Parts: sequence; C-alpha cells; structure tokens
Amino acid sequence: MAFSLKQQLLLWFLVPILVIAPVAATFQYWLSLTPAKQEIDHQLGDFAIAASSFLKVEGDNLHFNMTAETEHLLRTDQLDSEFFLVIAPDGKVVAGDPALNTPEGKIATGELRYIDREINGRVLRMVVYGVACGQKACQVRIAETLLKRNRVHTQALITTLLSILVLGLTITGVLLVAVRHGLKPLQDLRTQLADRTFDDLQPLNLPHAPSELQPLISTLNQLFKRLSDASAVQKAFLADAAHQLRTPLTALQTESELALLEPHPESLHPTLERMHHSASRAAKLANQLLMIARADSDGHNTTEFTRIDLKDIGAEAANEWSSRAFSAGVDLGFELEASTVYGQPILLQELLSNLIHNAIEHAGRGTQITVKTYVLGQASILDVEDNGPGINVQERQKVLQRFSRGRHAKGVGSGLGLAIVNDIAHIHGANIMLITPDNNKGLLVRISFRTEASR
Amino acid sequence: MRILLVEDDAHLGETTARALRSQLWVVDWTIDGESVMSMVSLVPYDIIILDVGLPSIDGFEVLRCLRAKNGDLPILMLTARDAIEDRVHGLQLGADDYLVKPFALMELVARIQALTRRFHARQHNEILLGILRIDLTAKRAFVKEMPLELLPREWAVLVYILNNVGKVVSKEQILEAISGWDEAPSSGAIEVYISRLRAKLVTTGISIRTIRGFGYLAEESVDGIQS
Repeated sequence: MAFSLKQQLLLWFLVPILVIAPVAATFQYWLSLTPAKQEIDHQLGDFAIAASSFLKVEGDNLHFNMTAETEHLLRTDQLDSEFFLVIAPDGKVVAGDPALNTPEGKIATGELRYIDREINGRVLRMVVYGVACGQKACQVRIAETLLKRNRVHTQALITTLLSILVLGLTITGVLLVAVRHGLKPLQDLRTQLADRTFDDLQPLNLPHAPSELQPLISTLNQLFKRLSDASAVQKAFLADAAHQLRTPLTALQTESELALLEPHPESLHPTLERMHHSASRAAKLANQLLMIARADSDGHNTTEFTRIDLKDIGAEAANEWSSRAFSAGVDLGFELEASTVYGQPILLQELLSNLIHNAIEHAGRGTQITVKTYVLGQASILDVEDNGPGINVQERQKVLQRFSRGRHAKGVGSGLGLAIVNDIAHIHGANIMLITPDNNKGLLVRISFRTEASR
Repeated sequence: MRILLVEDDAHLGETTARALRSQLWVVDWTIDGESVMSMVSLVPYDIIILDVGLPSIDGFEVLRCLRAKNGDLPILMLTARDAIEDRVHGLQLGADDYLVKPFALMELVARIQALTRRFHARQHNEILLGILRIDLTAKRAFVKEMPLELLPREWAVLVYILNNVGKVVSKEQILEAISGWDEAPSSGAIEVYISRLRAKLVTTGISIRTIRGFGYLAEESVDGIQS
C-alpha cells in the first residue's frame, strides 16, 4: 500500500506525544498545585499562631480576650468564611465557634495539624494548633471554606492545560515544517525527474541533497548512464548502418542516372526512371538517417554552436536549390534580412534544405516558394512558404514525426524530412509552426529561434 | 580534357568515370591516393576529382601534396554529406570546389566545366563558354568571333556573372563587383543591365535566371550528354 512519508513521520512523533502529554500534564498540575495549597495552609497556620497570643493562662483559668476589631480582622477574607475555636485541654470550649469542636485526638504543644472536616454540611479546611496550657496543651482551631483552594485548583488546571496545548501545537507545527523541509530534497528530485525530456539522460545534479538521498541519486545516475550508453550504442549502430548503406545507394543512384542519360531502348525508359527515383529516395533516406543519428548524439553538445546569420543560411540555400527548383518548375524566391541566431551552421543548412525540398516536392510544378529570414520581436524567424495544396490541420502534428508522410504526399520523400527539421529545431530550442499563409493557400513552415538577447 | 578521378569505391568510381567519359572526356581512375603524385607528374591533367575518404592516405593529405607541388591545378573534392566541416577544411587546404555525395551526374559535369573554365580564364585571360569568348585582356566579347557590343557596365556585370556560371550571385555581390566604375549604380540599374545582357546573349545558349528576391543564376544550356 502506498503511504506518505510525511504521514509516517508525523505518526511516529505524535503518538508518543499523545501518550506522554497526559502524564506530563498530571505531573505539572500536581507540581503547581501543591505549593499554592501549602501557601494557603501556611497562612491559616499563621492565623492560628497569631490567635493563640490572645490565650492567657492564669492558674487553672483560661482567658481568651480578643477585641471585637481583632476578631473581625480574623474573620475577614475576600473569598472564604473564617471560623475559630479555642479549646481547653479537657475539651471545654473557651471561645469561638463550638461547631468546630470535633474530636481530633491529642496534640502536642507547638504542633500545627491540617485537616479537612465536613461541618454542618460544608467542607472546611482546619488547622489545629497546640498551645501550652500549664502541663497540657490547649487547642486553637482556625477553619475556612474551600473557595480559595478551589480557585487555586482551577488556576492550576487552566495553566497546565494551556501550557500543554501550546507545547502540543508548537511541536506539531515545528514537526510539520521540519518534515516538509526534510522532504524538500525528495521534492527537488521529483521535480528534476519530472522536468526531463525523454532523451535527456544527463546525470542528476542535486549537490545539496542530504546524504540519505545520495545513494538513490547515484543509483539513478548509474541507470541514466547505462541508458545513455545503450542509447549511444543504438545511435552508433544507426549511424554505422546508414553509413554502410550510403555508398552502394549513392552508386546505384549515379548508375541509374547514367543509364537514363545514355542511349537506351524507349521501352526501358519508364523502368529506368522508376529505378532512379527509388535509388534517389533510398540514398536520401540513408543520408537523412545518418543526419538524425548525428543530430541526436550531438544534440546536447553545444560546443559547436556559434553566432550565425540566418540570411547566410538562406543565401547558401539559394545556391543549392535555385537550379533544382527551376528544373522542377517551381519559382523559388527569397526575402532575406539579417537575423542572428546561435546555432550549428551545418544543422541549420540541413534544416532549410529539408524545408525547401519538402516544399518543392509537396507544392509541385507551377507553384511559388518563398524563403524569408527576419527578426520579429524577440525572435529570429525562418519562414518557408508555398502556395501549393498545403497540409490539412489534422495532419500537421503527425508530419513532424519520423516516417510519417502526408496522405496526399507526392515525390520521393522518405517521411524523414520534417522529422529532421523538428529534431534540429529542438536542438536549437526553436519552435516550429505549420501555418496556413495569409492568402489561405499552401503551407507556411515557421521556425522561430529565440534571439541571443532573450536566451 | 583529361581528368584524374580518385575514388576508392569501385562501383561509384566506375559509374562516375563512365559518366565523365560520355562527355567525351578522357578519364583516368585510381582508387589509390598514393599513386596520385606520380600520375600527376607524368600526365598533364586538366582537373583532379578527389574523394576525401580514401584508404591508406586520406584525401586531405593528397590535396596538401598536390598544392605543395603543382601550384594551381583545379581540384574538386568529393565529401560525404554529414562531414560538411570537411568542406571548409578542404577549401582551406586549397581545393577549388567541393561536391557533396550523393550528387547528380549533371551537377558534377557542370562543376567540372565551371572549374576548368575558371582555370582557363586564369591561364589564358579569356573566358570560353560555348560559342561565347571573352577576351579579358582586350576587354572584348565575341560570339562565334563576331564582336558583341557592350557598354562598360554591361561588360563588368557580364564578366562577373560568367566567372560564376552555375552559381547564384546576389545583386549586392554584382554591385560590389562593378562599383569600381564611377558612382555606384542602383540595384534597379542592375536589373536593366541584366535584361540588356539577356537580349544580347540570346543566341549563345547562356541564360541568366532571376532568383526572386535574391539575385541571378547564369547557366549554360545543357543539351544533354553527347553520345
């Protein structure tokens, strides 16, 4: 089952925290409550000691003379009701509230004993203080209701809960951030892999990836290396095969051309012509395969890139194609303006050559083909426009693929021409567009290069 | 005309030799780059057609030796299509022209004619093209020994485009070539000169085609291979 690393990590952290938190809370509650309660008890004890100073022993008589003001002072508290009682060693009430006279056992002189007692339906906290009355101990008892203590309880509870809550939220938050941060290298790796084109087999470059990821990255890089090697072997094989095919095919083409030029029986002419066409096509195919193999393998090697003017590429094409276009009955024209690109001259010549060849083959006799180079905004443009039959919109994407030919294609095309154009454009980071020209007739192939300034 | 063909592929060499012989040219064909030097010293060839990819000794090496010894013999290199950097290398080493395999036979014939014509022009200071003869020393043109009347600028344009028969020349190139004459003419003027030249050359079989938006291409009408 697929699981999220993030969820796993959070689970592993949060479950122990959920277990520990109540324990810690209890502990903290107890820790904060005990001193507060002791403090309140301590005050109660102080009262008892203070009150004991009013107890006078004269022989066997005990006097407890507290002024009304002092008693008022003793009984005053913001929250709780206060009670007091003074008892002689024999258990007789000397002064105070007789209700407090619960049986409490003996108490030593100077001892303070704290006890909880329910008296008349109210729970009271009572301190019993032993005061020396001759040989025995009198008792001074002070008691109060539990409102202060209850408030202390509530406060301790709130403090504990709040601090645990803050702690929990902080830990969870930090954990989330930490997990996200910790998993970022994985995200980076994913992004790098996702952004790759199918033919990009360069090693991954993640210098800041944590050491835990390095084995994965190095394994992936080894895989890329093996794939790249395999691909190189394949391309080398393709190049080799094409190279081996080329020489005999070229010879065949020349031979058939010679046979056509030399005197021959009229009846053989159509056969010879077909032979020559096939031989030309095969020779061209071998050359194009070689070109593709070379273009692919050199694709990521930009060392041979230089600044070139598309105008010069156009002029070269004028030299190569003018005569042939004329023989094919095609009016080949040029509108060349300076437009600099960064690229490989050989490949760009091949690109334009293929476009012109395609246009001548596709548009056919009596048509007009125009090659244009110019700058448009941020782009250098190479246009090859014809007023032939064009390619319908549905077929346009398909013709850029290898060995695909338009359904109504004529001539000796191998179906590789536009694929090579596509490959070369790709290597140069150029866009290729198949457009219907303004006059709604024919085909305009536009190669749009980013100019150096916008690279 | 005597041609030395250096091509190691038996089939292609044989076919090419046959095609050139059908032009009534004398062709010696060798597959061995090392024998070229001795052959050149024995026979006065008019042109050498040299394949770059030769066994044992490569075409560039042969080219270097030839240029070191026999000054200006026209040399046409044959190179593979994917090795276009070879062209540049070859031209730097002193080849006069290159042709990329596979080539059309007529293209090879045209290139050979153009090269030998230029070589002839250099050696004899005259251009021979079919029935047209241009005497560069006397600055006179003749059609079948009949003088052809040309204005100075027409003469300059004609010499320039005939020096580049079979090649596309741009209007700018023509303008540059003739701008030594008083003030520079406009590109509209070039069109006028070309159309006058067309009229004057109509009987010579030389055609000057307009390459729309670019320039001109002078071609000698080819009547097919003579048999």
